[in-house]
Amino acid sequence: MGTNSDLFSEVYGCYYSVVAKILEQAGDGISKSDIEKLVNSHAFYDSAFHLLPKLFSDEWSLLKRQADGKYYSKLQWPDTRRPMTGLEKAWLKALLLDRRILLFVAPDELAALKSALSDIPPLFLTEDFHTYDLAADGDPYEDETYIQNFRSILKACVTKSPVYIQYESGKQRRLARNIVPYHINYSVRDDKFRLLGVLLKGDGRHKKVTLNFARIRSVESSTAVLPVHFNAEKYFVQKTHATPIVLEISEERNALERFMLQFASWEKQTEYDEEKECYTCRIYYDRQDETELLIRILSFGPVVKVLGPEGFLTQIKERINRQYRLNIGENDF
Amino acid sequence: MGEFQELIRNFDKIRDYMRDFYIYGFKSRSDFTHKSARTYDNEKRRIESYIGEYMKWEYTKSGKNLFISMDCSKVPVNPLYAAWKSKAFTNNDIMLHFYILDALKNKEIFSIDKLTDVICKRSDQIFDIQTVRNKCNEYHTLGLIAAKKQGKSLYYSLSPDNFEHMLTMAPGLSDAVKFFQGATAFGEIGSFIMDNQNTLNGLFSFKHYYAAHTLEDAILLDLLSAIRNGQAIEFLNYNESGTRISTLDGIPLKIFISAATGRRYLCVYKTRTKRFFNYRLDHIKAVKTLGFCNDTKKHYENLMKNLPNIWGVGFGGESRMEIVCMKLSINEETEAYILERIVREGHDGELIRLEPNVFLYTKEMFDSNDISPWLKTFTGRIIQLEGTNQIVIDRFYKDIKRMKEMYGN
Repeated sequence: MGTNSDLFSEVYGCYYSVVAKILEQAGDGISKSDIEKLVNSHAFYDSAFHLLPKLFSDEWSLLKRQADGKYYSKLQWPDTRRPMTGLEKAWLKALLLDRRILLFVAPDELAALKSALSDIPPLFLTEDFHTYDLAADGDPYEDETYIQNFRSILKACVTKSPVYIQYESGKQRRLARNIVPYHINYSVRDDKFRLLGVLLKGDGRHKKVTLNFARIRSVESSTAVLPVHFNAEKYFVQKTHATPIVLEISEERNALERFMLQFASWEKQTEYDEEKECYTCRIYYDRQDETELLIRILSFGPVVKVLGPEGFLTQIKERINRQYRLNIGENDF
Repeated sequence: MGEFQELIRNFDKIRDYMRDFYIYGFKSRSDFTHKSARTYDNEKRRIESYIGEYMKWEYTKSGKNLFISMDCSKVPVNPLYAAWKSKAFTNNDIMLHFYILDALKNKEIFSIDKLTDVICKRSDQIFDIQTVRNKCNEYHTLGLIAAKKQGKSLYYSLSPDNFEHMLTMAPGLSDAVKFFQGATAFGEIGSFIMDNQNTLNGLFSFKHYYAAHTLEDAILLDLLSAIRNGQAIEFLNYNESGTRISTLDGIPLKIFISAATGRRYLCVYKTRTKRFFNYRLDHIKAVKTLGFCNDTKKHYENLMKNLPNIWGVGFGGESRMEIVCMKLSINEETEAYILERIVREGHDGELIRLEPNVFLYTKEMFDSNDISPWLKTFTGRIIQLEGTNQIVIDRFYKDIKRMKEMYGN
């Protein structure tokens, strides 16, 4: 009994990728230090120790050193990109059957792609999977206005140019703003796209905003002028809450395993406390995720205990006290 | 004792260690008892090299803990994909890779003799025809090169299916790959395409993303192939604690996923007990197909009929349907978002307004154990909880009592 080996091939390997990059740049000669830089920036951390001697010693016979001290590719063609493998084509074919693909390609383009891959079976089908807790109000991917808005924002994300967005707030108020798109965020659980961007205010100030794509009504190019030295990135790099949530996790009801998997996507640290015979976990989080974390932690019941920070602990206590008061007198309370 | 090699031949070993470092993250060297200390050191060194900045460490009372930690919402491409890019190869492998593809560029078509000549000339190396033929056969199977018989000889050419050609038909496909590598199954394949195209994802970020799923993808590939072909399977399965492995069988029908908890399951029909059952995907070690099963379609249709009655993965016990009724206190004016959440997450359960600011949610399902964690997310507003599975109801009230004691006032 074994496992499929199709995914695990050196053709997709990190070494092949970085050597391809070196060979592409070695058509007109590349210095030793530039090769080292490419390996250090594109391969694994320790790859230089293993890969460079093979390249420089001519063991792989891919480069030749010339009188100018530079290394030249022995290949005839500078383009080292390979054709797609069958696995890659099958994966692409699966994407073509995903309803979100229309956000990226037009219907006639999709038809052309399907025709080009007509003899390739898709690697998987949507119906192979059953996501049992997927949100029931996922985004309307077939809606023409939604598709147009998505494409306009995607384009603006690439150019980092401002757009004029009209959208409906959570309280059904219609608002219009100049926004510089930064990233498009997708939540697998919510099945929703959100725009992360910087709102340009009329008085010259700006602030970070998150907009649900489904609430966006129109997107137009904007005449707003970006402030000098404007840097959208600074709003998104340091956002993690400095004080982590500290929790104790007991081993009851397989809580540790369940908790670690559920919170794997957060930055965290865990250690075993021998004296208390439980695990202590610190979760570093973004302030806007606080309510989500609160209810997720509550879902574990008494097998996870919040120790801090104070504000978070107070919220947990408030909810439990409120629940206790609601149920006094019932079921042995 | 052999020299340390950064690349590996066996994916299974790195899969287990990477998972332990990422999911658990609290184990010290002494906790990895199932293999030798030297194996631990080597795997640790490799993963440190592959994962780089995401590998962290701290000193605890039990020793130095190494762990992988990352905020997935800030990571453009899953760092664990690196495990798939670590396969070892020989000198001949890498030389033939670049020289065969180079020789066949520009629509060249060569017999094996001619191809070998071209490669030897360009590389200043001597390759025998059989070595080149073996590599060509391998690349033909992978889909990188085409082979066509003319007379008695096979002629090789480069596969015309390249991503650049696809982009001429649909330029948006490049951004689609950047998105789907983080938003659909087998995202590592999207990452392979991006590596080959030398592109990076600077557009998309992902929330509720479970990076460790990639480590199960070889198993998933086998399972999907069996599902597609209607084949029964035998599989090696670890128990919850990972201490015992057993051989199980069944007809694979679907992959169940929890987007909230990150768990993935294989749903099989067990012919002996005539029941559906879900097994954790990350507990499956290996899969073997047993052949085509005539009844697959019938079992699949039966499963589909039953899906609306499953909250999570439990198909229930003897008494078939269980009911849960939850009376909630919700301020209609200020907390409409709670009502929206119930509609969004409540699996089409019935929601009735009993009186101003009091609502009743009712849901019928096979196993109400599955709904317990979700019910607890409403802690603080549950006026009353009732249901046909008294164990589930009692546990809820006991849990609230325990939490009250745990936190004091």
